[in-house]
Amino acid sequence: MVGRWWIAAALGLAASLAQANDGCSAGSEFEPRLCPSGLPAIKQVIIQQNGMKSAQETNPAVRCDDFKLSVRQVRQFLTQAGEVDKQDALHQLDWSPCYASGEVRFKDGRVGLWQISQLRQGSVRLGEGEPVYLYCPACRARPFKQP
Amino acid sequence: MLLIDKEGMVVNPRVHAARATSIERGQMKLVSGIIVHQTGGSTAQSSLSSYKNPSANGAHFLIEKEGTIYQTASLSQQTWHVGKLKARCLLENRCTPVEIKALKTFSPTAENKREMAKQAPARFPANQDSIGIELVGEAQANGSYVAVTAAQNDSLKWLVAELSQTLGIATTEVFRHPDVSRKNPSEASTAAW
Repeated sequence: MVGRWWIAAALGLAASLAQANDGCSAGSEFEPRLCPSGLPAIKQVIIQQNGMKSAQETNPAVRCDDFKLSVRQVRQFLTQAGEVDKQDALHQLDWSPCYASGEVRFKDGRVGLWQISQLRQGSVRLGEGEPVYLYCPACRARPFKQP
Repeated sequence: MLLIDKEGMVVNPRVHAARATSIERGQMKLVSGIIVHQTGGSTAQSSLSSYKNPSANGAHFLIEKEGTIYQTASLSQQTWHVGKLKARCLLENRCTPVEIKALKTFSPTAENKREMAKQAPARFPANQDSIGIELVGEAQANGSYVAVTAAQNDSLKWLVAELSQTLGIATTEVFRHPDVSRKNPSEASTAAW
């Protein structure tokens, strides 16, 4: 009986350690849980749209001209950003009408479509599936607005 | 008038219990308002599955496209469904000169902090004091959320009316998510209650 208890305790401890060591941050009320994105190393970044305003933004006074990313800044975002859960990306993080988008070629041969918004949220779509949702609190380049 | 049990769950044949304690974030002592959302996904099942994740976030109710209502969190518990609050005084054109000056510096974090120092209804309802209702609905390729179905709006109208009557929530305190925080303006834009 005692042996079983120890096995159960050891398994519980192993599970909690695994959770603590998954590389994800804890998250909080206003900061989502961030996990390693697992995106492969980048070979090339192509910017197709810059300083764009979302068609969903109905306020004509909103301008996005000041949100123009360089290739270096896009590369930094895609490298430094963590992955966030879709629910957190849509509900917890702030939405921005200003975005840039383009293509990213990875060293493993895969090609993705990226989109990055001015409030440091983004996504990479690889193939037909759900995109990888990204958030980069460490990205502090000038075009980004700090939340 | 809804019957709510001691666990904060609605007892009514129109509301199906699907409580996910993983999305509950501490006691909610007061309900000041209701926030209406769209999930971003195309099925209730995808949301219900994601709520099983121990770090998941969600809202109190989930309404499927064909109108089925699920209660996913206790009404005596907070859920983190709102995000950072926008300044309510801006929407209502009643900001003081001090508030206007502070709002000239763009900082959603500071704006939220200033709002949370107020009590509702001087601010919008927040995570601490609001019920969240999710309508199943995906964002399309152009970034716009799909239209809310007629069945969803029927269920939403019933649920909002019942919750308002039971918990004493004023009709002026029911909002779409993009009204209260920085979200895609098309989210729940076709919701009606």
